Amino acid sequence: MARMSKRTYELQVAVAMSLYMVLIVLVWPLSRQDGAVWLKTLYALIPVVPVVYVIGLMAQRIVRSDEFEQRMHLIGLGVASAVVSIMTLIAAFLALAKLFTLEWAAIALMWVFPLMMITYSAARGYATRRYGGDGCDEGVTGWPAYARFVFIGVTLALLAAYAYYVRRSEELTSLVLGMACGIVVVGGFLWIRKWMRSRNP
Amino acid sequence: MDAQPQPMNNHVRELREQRGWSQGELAERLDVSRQTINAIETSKYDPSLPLAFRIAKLFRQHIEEIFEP
Repeated sequence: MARMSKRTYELQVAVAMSLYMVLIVLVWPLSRQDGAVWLKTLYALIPVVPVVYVIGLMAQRIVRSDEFEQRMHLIGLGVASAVVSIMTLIAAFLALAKLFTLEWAAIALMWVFPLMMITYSAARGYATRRYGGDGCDEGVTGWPAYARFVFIGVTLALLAAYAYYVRRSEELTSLVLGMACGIVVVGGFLWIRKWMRSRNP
Repeated sequence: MDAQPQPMNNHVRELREQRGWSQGELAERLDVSRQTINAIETSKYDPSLPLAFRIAKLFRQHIEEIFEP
């Protein structure tokens, strides 16, 4: 089976995740308004569609990878599973102890997928570098990795501002702003790493 | 518990350079990623048997002439 082009994969993921964020901010809030149960359910679950598509893309990419890449994917997914399992267990115990509200527990659940992706990418990048590869290369646009992360983070921050000022939704704002901050921090870390490498070739 | 075995040494880089191929070109010929070639050449990763046979066939050598413990 032919290997999947990185460009194709990254473009499709970028489009799907952009759609995910737009649906979260523009469509999902409609599920909290009065209306028929089936319609509210549809509005509530529609952001799941692009996520399922991305998971399908990842599965395809892994199946079409070579043996070395599959080992790196395995390491990444293993670490991500362990980290996310522990974090959700912690959140569950805290919620059961009523140390935070059910609504915040629901928000924490929404972080399972992003946390899984972040941990998987970081672990896979680290493992690839240990084996002599590049953990994070230029990607589709030719921008350095840190620039892409900062761009995405700033875009999400603008979306969070929309969620706050237009939608008046604190939960959405905190979710999107949290993602934006996390992504900008990762971008900052990548910039520092690039700078340190340029000083010590 | 036994210690994890060390990856084997190999002559893939020499054979590639003799033919004037880049890592990317060799990766394309073997239908693997450039990172895989780099990992093999730096002895950080041992290829599977099918891949080792494909490498040997590409370079027209026996496996034992390319990979050694």
